[in-house]
Amino acid sequence: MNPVLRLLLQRLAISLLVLVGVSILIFFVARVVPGDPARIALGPNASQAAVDAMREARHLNDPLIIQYGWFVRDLAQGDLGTSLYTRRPVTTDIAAYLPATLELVFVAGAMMILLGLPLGRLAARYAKRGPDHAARFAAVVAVCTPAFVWGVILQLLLAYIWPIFPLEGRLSNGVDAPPGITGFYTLDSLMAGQFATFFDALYHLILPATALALSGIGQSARLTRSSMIETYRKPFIEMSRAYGFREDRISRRYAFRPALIPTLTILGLDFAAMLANAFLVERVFVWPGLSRYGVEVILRKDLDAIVGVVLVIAAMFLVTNLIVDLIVSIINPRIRLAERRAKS
Amino acid sequence: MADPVLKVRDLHLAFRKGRHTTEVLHGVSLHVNAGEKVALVGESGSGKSVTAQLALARLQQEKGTLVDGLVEVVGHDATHSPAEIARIRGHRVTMIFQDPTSALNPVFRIGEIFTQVLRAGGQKISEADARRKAEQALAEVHIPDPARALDSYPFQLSGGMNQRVMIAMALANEPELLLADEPGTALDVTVQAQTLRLMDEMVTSKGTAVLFISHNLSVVREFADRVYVIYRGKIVEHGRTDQLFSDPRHPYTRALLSAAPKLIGGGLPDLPEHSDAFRDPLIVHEGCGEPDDEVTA
Amino acid sequence: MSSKTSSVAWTEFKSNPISIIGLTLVCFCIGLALLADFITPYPAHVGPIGDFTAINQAPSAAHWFGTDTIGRDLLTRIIYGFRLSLIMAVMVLSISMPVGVVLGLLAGYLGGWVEFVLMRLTDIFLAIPPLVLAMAIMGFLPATLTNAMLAVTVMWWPWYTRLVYNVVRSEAREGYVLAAEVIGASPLHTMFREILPNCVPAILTKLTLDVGFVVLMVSSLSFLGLGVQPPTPDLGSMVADGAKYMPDAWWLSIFPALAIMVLVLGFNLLGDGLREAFDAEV
Repeated sequence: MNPVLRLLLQRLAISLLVLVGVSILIFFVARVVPGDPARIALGPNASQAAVDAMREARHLNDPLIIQYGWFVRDLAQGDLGTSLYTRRPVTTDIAAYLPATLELVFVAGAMMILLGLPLGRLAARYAKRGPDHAARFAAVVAVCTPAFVWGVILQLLLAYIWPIFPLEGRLSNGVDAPPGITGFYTLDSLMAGQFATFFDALYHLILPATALALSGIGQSARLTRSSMIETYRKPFIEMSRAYGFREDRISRRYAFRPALIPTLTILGLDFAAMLANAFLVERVFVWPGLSRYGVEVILRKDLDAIVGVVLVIAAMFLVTNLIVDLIVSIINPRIRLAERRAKS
Repeated sequence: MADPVLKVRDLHLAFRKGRHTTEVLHGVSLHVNAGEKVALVGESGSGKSVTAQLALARLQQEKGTLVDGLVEVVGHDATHSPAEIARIRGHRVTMIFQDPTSALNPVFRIGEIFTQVLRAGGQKISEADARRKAEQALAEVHIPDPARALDSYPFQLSGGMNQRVMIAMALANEPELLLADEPGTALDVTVQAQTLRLMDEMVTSKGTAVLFISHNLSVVREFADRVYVIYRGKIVEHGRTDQLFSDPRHPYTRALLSAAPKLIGGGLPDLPEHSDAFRDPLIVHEGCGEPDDEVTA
Repeated sequence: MSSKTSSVAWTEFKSNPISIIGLTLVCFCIGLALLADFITPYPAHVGPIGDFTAINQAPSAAHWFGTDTIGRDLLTRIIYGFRLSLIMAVMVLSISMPVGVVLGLLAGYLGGWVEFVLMRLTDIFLAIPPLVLAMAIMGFLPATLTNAMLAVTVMWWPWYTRLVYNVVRSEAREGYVLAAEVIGASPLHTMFREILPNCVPAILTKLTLDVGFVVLMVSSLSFLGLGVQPPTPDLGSMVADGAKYMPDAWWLSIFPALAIMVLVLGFNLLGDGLREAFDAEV
């Protein structure tokens, strides 16, 4: 079998196991907390009869293990239960809110890759000189600052004091959302040929995506820098220089590609962390994404919805890592060509 | 006689770190004539590898490096204008490394690295021509299936194969000077012997001058026309290979000879303990003076 | 670790300007937190009552960082916020670190099914972004300070388990461990007396970095309204509340935001310095 395929299948199997683990974990945490979930859900004013009816309907009187069985059966049918807050299926709610979050995360992820990697590459090329020190310090500051702090600062500077960018939301007032196909306003508006909407959506994305991306940019620049510096010490770079390869080409290609391999795996984790940080940024920019829904259901103790949101995020986290594994195995010929890998 | 392809005169090198300065070379002079095979022999830390790096202008621009004296490579001044050397690296002067496998980039195919080598110094060559030329070069070093080797990654080939690839790359642009820094010490003894013989055969047929850097006198014996022995940043003895081996005069050379293992390679020989006699002045054998000296010993 | 290597590490630490900046920032923040009762200009403003004659004032000589919507001095509240953040970080780490370390030791040293169960459990925890897990736990519990700490503690231990596990796996092959086993040392002795001391540099480095990251996490939770509740002065909820009064009362959210930045930055620089000095893999 093709080694890349084999590796992917292996990882997929492990990811599925982990996902099952996550579902057990979150399911049991949701059930062992003190208090009757039905009572919490219905509030102190509901009648005992209503609470009992709900306990019956939700199988809350069964032993935990049986309850988990029901949960898995529903999950297998794509049913995550019903939100008490919106009174709609949790899957419907998530499908409605997720695209806005994903659009934000993808743009921020692209910024992290497109700005962080070249910055790290340049810092490594000028290691221990002025530009490097400046870049390193900026990177540490970026990494140490929570996304919501960036959000607040960027908003104050670029939306209030110098109103270059819109304050909040996905579109300006009076601009209609494009026909929903992907739920990404930028893609949908392009596909519908509504260019004005496209630019408006993009314009609204810039500040929140930057706030979300900054710590990732810092982190990826740091990682790329240290990996590049390590690669520069390798004999094959000495060889490239002895054979007159241009320094620029070494920096962009012959040192960059080997240096990227260890960096990418960790970048996958950073990208996944953005899924969580999006919650903070969405709050600052009143972004109608999963965060608004997530925080709302958490404050309302909406158990099914909470479990659903966590499962979806964990699944996306695992998918991200799978994709990163795939990319790494493609650029690393040792994995692509190896019949078997020594280390999993 | 034409100018030597490598001329080193009274070369001093020191590294400065903070307020601390360490002098590594104390006035080294040596030369390599066109087509000549010259060995520079000394233990690790004697300054032989830095000499090669200076010749490739790979050290001059590093922070804290203090260079004084003359290094001239195929007519270009490496001490004062390292940028000129940078332009001739890879085609007029090339290098072979200790461990061929780690000297080849692991995430690129041999073919791509080879094409880049063929384009050294800004030479224009099409992808197809480069491929043809690389295949031919690999065939010359007796690689059985050149096309397959070019499509392989370095980790898919054996160390011996990679050494052949390295030799082919080093000579593909027909350089005037080849610097060989302990070639193949990372390989096992028989493979090392084979590749040394191959290198000998190749440079002889192409008429490439070689500066062969080694810690091992017996390896040098089969290969070099002339030998310089270096000890702690100073040349201590210089002579034709036959002169030096039949009549080693410097105490350090004698110690080195008696310590050297008889087999080729075999890792580091037991190097002699330091003795004050090793600090004796330079001994130059008959007819072996440096080109600028009027009178030779 | 022998005293000699720690003195080498100390020398290296001292000569690194980054570490010194980090140490200074950390000492500054801890000093403020410890002396909050004595140095804050309006210690009474830590509670729900402020000075109604001075509401929403911009930064001035009397109120360096301005006052909030009910006239409380922001500088005072930020310094108490430092104290709260640090206390929470210490509480969280003083539970999650030992638990994580012991589990990591057990998994790495005992191997077998213990290793399998513990490490898979760790994988499961690490498969959920920390903030989301902490948020979810808060979803099942009332939003209080104690519960926020509990939620962060519950998701923090696996990082130590994985760290120690990795160190143990590489150390277990070292000669001194084999030697201890050969002379018949008990597993407990080997784990805690032979292996654990060698994990100390890595744990210490991670602990320092983590103080910053716990502060970051806790303030993120309270920013979302899922952690510390008013009137307790918490930096994250101060940013969230202040953001409602942007841009006119910009100081309400910007100063607490910068305070979080300084606190996390200090511990991060210090941790980086330690990492380089110890040459620890974290």
